[in-house]
Amino acid sequence: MAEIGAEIGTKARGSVSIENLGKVYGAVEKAGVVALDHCSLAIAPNEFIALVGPSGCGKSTLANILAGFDQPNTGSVSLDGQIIASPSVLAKPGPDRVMVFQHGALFPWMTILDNVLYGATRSAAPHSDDLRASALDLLRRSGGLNRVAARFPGQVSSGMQRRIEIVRALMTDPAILILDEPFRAMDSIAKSRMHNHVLALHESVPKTTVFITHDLQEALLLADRVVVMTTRPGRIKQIVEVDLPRPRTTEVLASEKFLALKAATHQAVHDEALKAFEAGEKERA
Amino acid sequence: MSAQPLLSVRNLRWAPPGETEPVLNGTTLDLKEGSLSVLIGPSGCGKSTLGYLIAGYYEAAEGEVRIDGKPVREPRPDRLMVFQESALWPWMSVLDNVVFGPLSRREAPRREIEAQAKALLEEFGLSAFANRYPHQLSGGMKRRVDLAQAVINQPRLLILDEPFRGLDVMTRELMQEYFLGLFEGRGQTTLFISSEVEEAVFLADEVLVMDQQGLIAQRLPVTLPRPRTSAMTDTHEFQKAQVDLLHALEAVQAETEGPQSQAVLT
Amino acid sequence: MVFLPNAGKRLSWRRGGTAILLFVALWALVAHSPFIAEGSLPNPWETVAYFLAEFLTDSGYWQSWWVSFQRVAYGFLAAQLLGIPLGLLLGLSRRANAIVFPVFELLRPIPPLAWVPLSILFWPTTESSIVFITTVGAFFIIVMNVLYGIHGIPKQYLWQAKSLGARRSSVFLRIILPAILPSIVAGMVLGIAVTWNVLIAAEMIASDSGLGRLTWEGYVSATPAVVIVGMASIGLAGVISTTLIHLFERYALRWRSE
Repeated sequence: MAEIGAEIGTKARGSVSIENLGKVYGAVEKAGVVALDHCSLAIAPNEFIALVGPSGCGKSTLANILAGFDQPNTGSVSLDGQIIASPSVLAKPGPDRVMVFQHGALFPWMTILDNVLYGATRSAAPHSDDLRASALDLLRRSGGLNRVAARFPGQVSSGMQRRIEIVRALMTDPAILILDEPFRAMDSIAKSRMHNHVLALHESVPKTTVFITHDLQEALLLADRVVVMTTRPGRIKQIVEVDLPRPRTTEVLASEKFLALKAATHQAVHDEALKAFEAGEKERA
Repeated sequence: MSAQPLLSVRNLRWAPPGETEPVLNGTTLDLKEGSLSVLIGPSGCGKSTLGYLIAGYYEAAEGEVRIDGKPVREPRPDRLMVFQESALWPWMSVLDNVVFGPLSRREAPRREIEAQAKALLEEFGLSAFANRYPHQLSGGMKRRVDLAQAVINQPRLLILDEPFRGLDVMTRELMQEYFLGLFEGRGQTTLFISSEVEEAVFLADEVLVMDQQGLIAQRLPVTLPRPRTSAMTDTHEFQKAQVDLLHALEAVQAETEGPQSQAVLT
Repeated sequence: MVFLPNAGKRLSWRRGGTAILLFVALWALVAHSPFIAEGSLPNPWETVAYFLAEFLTDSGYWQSWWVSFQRVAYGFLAAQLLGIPLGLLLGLSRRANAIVFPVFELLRPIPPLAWVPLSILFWPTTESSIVFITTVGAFFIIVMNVLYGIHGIPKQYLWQAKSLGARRSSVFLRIILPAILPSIVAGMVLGIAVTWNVLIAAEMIASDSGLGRLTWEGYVSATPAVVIVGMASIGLAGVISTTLIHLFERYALRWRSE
């Protein structure tokens, strides 16, 4: 983690400290929906964190607060020692924390390279051949995407679109990368390839990453630590250290260690899913 | 083993009207009574098409489909399909959707059929929703009504076309457990179309891997015991079957794409 | 920020009221501006005063409302009664489509008002020819909407019904008809607007009664206040009939999500 950052010579940044974070939607005094309750978590620079939990467990709320789209009612988030979210700090998205969404937002009228460059030129100062070169380099590292750089987003698969978005996000050199279920709509084969690409990219361009998912297996496969969240009110239920060696590939799925990790976490996740499901059914009745 | 398979598909060939490139290029397949087979393959390989042909919605250019030895020529209630996009009629209540089949065939008095439908909804945890319209239900509920709408007709063969696609992974897992309960309780012969490796291994007696020609390239038996529970997905056997299936799929995909294009096209 | 009209949500009364007040103020301003010839455009309160004095208790005025509404109702209903079956026929029968559709496509581009001379020659009374023209206005829209509706039915809806053993009549009545109802209603919403358009023009050209005629007479007698009252009445009549259609829509399509 930290040592990988040192290896490529960048100053270790992207250390996140989440303290006692809480978020209630609707009026507090009228017992609004508690989306997030007393969440505390320290994320090391370049660490890959996966947040797992059922719908409505507050993982998206947490991500939105991290990204600056939403403001907490209690607690704070600091990034490299600076408070970026608290009840008194106005929520503000910025290029140092970029979010990639489930349904992408590439500009269909720009080529893939232009899309990626746009991510950078909006915020970073240098605008040059160097920038083009580094964009192409990042694309290449994301599974050879440099070969389609001149195409338009509509001409490539949805898996590639998601990867291009990740590259675009990385172009601003953010301190945190937030991925909100980016592979949800994909089938197994596409997803498994995406997993390998993301693992390789994270290992070659390490970044503090917060990955949101419903899928425990995906979380264990990708992350350094998996944070299991409870259904409403959203609390941290369990934190699992994933001590599987890197570099990783999907081959690790068959290893004894992976199995042990999954067995240790599965029940907790399943219980929360069931609770959320039953609450959802009751709500509609 | 019974002498005659419940479903028998022989050399099935089908191309979309006006096109020469076949989607299915000689598919052959047998299903035993009481089995749960999962059909999986790269997207666009013809999984749904095969389902439509078996259900009788499409007409084969060559080859044939037989159910209980009788050739399939048209849609009939003994082979029902649950579609990827819920096909509940939005203008009918949940109950009206479920009773539509038996009522259309005038098999029994309305009251009897409705009682049967209500019992089924109860079993699926939906009794409170009998008088709702489909749009008032969650995705997971709709999928259970879809199942009830088919199961009440006691079809010989149930074809499910990626029924849980689009649901989040957790809800999907719970739906799979619901479905397993249904299958294991009734021995409902099922062809389950999927694009999810985990789902395929969790449900199947046998996974059928389809290649880009629409042929069954590989049959992988799954020997996990029944009734299945989600705890079984933490076993070595499950995990290994999953990786094996992933490899089989990669092989099927690589075959048509070639190693060069693989990196670029995903 | 981009302005996105929030369709479906109603504007608040306060905002709506403010907008109308602003419009009235603008009207007053224009009426008194030096670019407008003296007396050619009455200001809002002159108009209201004129309305109260000349029209409110005048049975002839209310007769115009009644006559126009009747014509719209007849024309609109006739268009539905003829258009929906024809749309179904064209959409469901390939043979009927092959025979009728070319003729239909030839007649469709003809503007409804181009039918005025022929219909006056053809129909025995002015009343019937005006209703006919109004019908023409909505008829083509309805037919096209039913056609689109049929083409838009998800194939699974029909497959499922056949699989479950439904008879043809049941597929038609319980699946096809409800499935195209949203398209029919969409056709009604468009159709009612066109019906009013056509009716007013037809009344100005060919009739001696109705709101269109009333407005035209204001012009002929050089009484701008009458023109304005006529126009406002037509606007209000349009709003009333559209509201009725929307009420029907809310009832008939209550099974749809918001």
